[in-house]
Amino acid sequence: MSEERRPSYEEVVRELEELKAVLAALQSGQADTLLGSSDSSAVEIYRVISEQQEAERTELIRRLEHLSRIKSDFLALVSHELRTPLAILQEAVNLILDGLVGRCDEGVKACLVMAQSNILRLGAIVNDLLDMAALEAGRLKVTKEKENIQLLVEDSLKTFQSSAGEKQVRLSFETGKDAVYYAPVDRNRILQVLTNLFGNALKFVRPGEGIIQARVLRENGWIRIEIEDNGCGIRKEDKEKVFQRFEQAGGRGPAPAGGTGLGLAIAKEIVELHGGRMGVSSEYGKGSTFFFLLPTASRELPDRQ
Amino acid sequence: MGKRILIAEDEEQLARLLEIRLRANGYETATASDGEDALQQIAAQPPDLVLLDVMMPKADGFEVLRSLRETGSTVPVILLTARSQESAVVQGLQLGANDYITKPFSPVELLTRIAKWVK
Repeated sequence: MSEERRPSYEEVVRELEELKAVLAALQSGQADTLLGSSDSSAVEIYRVISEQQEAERTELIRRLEHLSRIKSDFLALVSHELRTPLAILQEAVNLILDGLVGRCDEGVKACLVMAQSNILRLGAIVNDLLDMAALEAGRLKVTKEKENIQLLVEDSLKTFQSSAGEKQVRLSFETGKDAVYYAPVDRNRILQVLTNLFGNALKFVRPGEGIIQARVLRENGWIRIEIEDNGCGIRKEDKEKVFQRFEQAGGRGPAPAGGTGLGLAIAKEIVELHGGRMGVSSEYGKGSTFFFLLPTASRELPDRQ
Repeated sequence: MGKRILIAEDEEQLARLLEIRLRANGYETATASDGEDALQQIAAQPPDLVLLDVMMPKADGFEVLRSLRETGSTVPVILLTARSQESAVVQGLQLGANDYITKPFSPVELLTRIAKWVK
């Protein structure tokens, strides 16, 4: 990191743009026009030019990689700067609530509980925004290990049991009994996807009559995870929109239903980073089924990048 | 005698809060506000565990860790990192960190992980 003066963010972005333009020009190649020539000296010139180009290209790529690393360092710094005050706030409130810095009466406690839940809310938003920025910078990586997907889904479902209970919503889980479904996944990132889908389902079902069903199925070479709810459903024209950034069904821009409108966009990207695919089927007024497919073996992404 | 934990954290307020939490749970604490300070304190009086922030002035958490392990120190180290710094976590574990906690952290998680390494 200390190999040269750290440039400003603006400088990095500007130079990245310039380099990309040069690289594009190199790749489209003025030398290509010589290629069709039968003139042997032209072919020789072409050879020399392409060797030079190769060297230049290698140097350019090295420079590009270096700059994009610096660019993601900025992101890491902002991430640190946002999370540190949140961590301090959270721990300060927790210490009071845990009674470690003296007694506090019920009224004070009630206010602090509000503060605490809003710190968590703010933390979730910061996480979404940073994940989105990391995705855009190509910095969000998945580290895959073989996991039992049925267990992952069950684990995630369990964390929603108490909030489902409060809302009197029924949760159920179905899967093939005969087999265990393994897939190479980044455990924490897939849990993040599941948390998002279960959280959404819970948000959109009616208290007292909500049913959320999770299913893990096998589909030649893929594992299919479905989360079905009998909530308000999604209008046809909103179906694509729900996966777009800062969008939610039934509204223009973010937040008719709270949150950033980033959760599903991030979930979809995470699934795609695994070589999978995500979608939804829904009937407006009756409910929605969000699903995603994960490849059971490590293999290349299907054509889509 | 209580086990001693060195908190290497440049955010002074966070370090103070951590001290309150740890002392309330029977630990003795010391704080270091940068990497060099941490290394000096560890050398002078080896603690039973180090809570090590990754981003710190002078020497960052990785440098502290590298230097500790290179000099043969086996003191348990728990890294404090921001979430979604997976690469940082992997790097830290490769350098010989025993565990990590992401900020913001839950108090229960913090204490459980510490208890696991302080015997």
